[in-house]
Amino acid sequence: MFYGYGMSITLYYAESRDEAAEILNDGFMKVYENIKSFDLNRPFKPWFRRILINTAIDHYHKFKKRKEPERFELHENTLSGNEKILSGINYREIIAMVQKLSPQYRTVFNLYVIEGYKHKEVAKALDITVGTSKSNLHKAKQNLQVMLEKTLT
Amino acid sequence: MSEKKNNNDPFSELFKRDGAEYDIPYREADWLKLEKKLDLRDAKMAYRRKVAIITAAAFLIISFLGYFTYENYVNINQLNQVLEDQIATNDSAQDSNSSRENSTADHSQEGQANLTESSESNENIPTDLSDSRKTDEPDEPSTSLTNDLAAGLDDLDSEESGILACDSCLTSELSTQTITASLMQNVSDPVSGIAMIQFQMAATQKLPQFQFEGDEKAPNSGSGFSLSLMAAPDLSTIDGFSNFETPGYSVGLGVGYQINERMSVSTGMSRSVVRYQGTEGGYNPPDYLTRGVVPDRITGECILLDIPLTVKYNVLEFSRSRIFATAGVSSYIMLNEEYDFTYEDQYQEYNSYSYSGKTGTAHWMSNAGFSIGIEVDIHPNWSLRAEPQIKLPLRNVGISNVRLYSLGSFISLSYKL
Repeated sequence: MFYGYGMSITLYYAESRDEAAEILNDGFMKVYENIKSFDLNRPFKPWFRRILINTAIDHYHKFKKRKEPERFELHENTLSGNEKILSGINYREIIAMVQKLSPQYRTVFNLYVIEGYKHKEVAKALDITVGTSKSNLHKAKQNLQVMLEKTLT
Repeated sequence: MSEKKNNNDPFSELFKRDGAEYDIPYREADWLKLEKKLDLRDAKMAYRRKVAIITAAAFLIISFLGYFTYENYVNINQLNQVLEDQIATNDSAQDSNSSRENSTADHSQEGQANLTESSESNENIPTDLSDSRKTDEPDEPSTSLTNDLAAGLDDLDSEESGILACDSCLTSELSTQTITASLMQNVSDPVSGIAMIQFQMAATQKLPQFQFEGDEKAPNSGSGFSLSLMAAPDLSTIDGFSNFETPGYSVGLGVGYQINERMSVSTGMSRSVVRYQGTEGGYNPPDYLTRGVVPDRITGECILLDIPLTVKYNVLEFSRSRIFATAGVSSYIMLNEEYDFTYEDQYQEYNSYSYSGKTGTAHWMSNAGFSIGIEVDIHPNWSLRAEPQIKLPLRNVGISNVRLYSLGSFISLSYKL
């Protein structure tokens, strides 16, 4: 029941489906071990989502030295304003683009854009400076923009 | 965490698209991986429970033996106190009798005459005592006591009249109370009363020595050899005292020899069931077992004969118990070996295969063993030991060449030959 929901979150934080499943399984284990602390009067999904995000952050710390940030050539003609074209991008392609980002860029992007963290919170969670968080977010967006451009052309 | 979503521009909104829109198909392999994690967690929980139970059991045994030793110590102290009190009482009684003897000199002289007469008619008494001493020669404490009493006789010269019946009492009953009672039955005059007190003193002053000399010498008596029956749980690993498998066990027989009062050597043979698991680095199986690829994980269950050679040293000695430490080497003869080899391929799927065989290989002096423990005498010839021990690898053992670390706690029952 929560497999699809969990995967839709962890796929953003992983390089592959296998890695996403690994994060999800680790998240399920945390749920299993901490289910007594769950307040039954509150909805389950937000609690589950919080666990998965924390698990993904743990996963990032565990493997953060695994891969160097990728470099993409930035094109000046951005596509951010072309909503009609963007709506044609499907979920699979979005996930594929995010997964191509380096772990550092991907995690900062997800925490800031998807989860709504502030740079201060991102910096604290990932043990980096606020400046690094802002820089990584900027580079992540640039890289995604390049990838999006390639996808649409 | 802030609830406010950042960057509400179309570009960011694109990436915030709800994943629920996309149907992510379920994959059986993901569940299998989770199942393995759950199994591993259950195994860890079960292991923690077992360790807790074993620790509690070891604690209880050591507490029991400690309490037993303490009780012994307290009893001996109480006995010492009673004896000291009795000696003090006798001293004061002797003093008062001496005063009375001085004040009734005439009466004593009359009594002396009677005693001289009695002495002449009972000249055989010292001979009887000597005879008795000869017959009791193997019994050191009795000899000691008889000597003391004989010395008392010498001191009293002709005051033996009231002691005649005590000869039998010496050989049959050694307690002060009995001596006193016997003497009281045969003493009818004040002079004999003095003799009674002096004899009682001689006996009571020596009784503590008799009792404790007897207790201390008992363990060293006999041939010096001992036999023991041993049993222990076995926690083994090849990852350096971590990652333990389900506990095995060890049961065996041993023989020991007491070199001196504190040191002894022992050997024996025990049949052990050893279970362990480990990750790469703790083993090196031959290529024909592993197809040339070292497994990522190994799980083993071996039945082996453990032949230890151990030196034991008594660190602390009590009247009926002792704290000891041992060090030694163990040789293993592998009777049967079973292994599961596990590999992790590029898809993180686990493929494993098994090996089982009656190998019969011997690995001499493959492990060093150390232990500390407590031994309690439950009988002059029987003793009980609790002995937590640790074994460290000196060389690889088994067909998989594992470096075997073991923890256990031997409980053994020994009989002194």
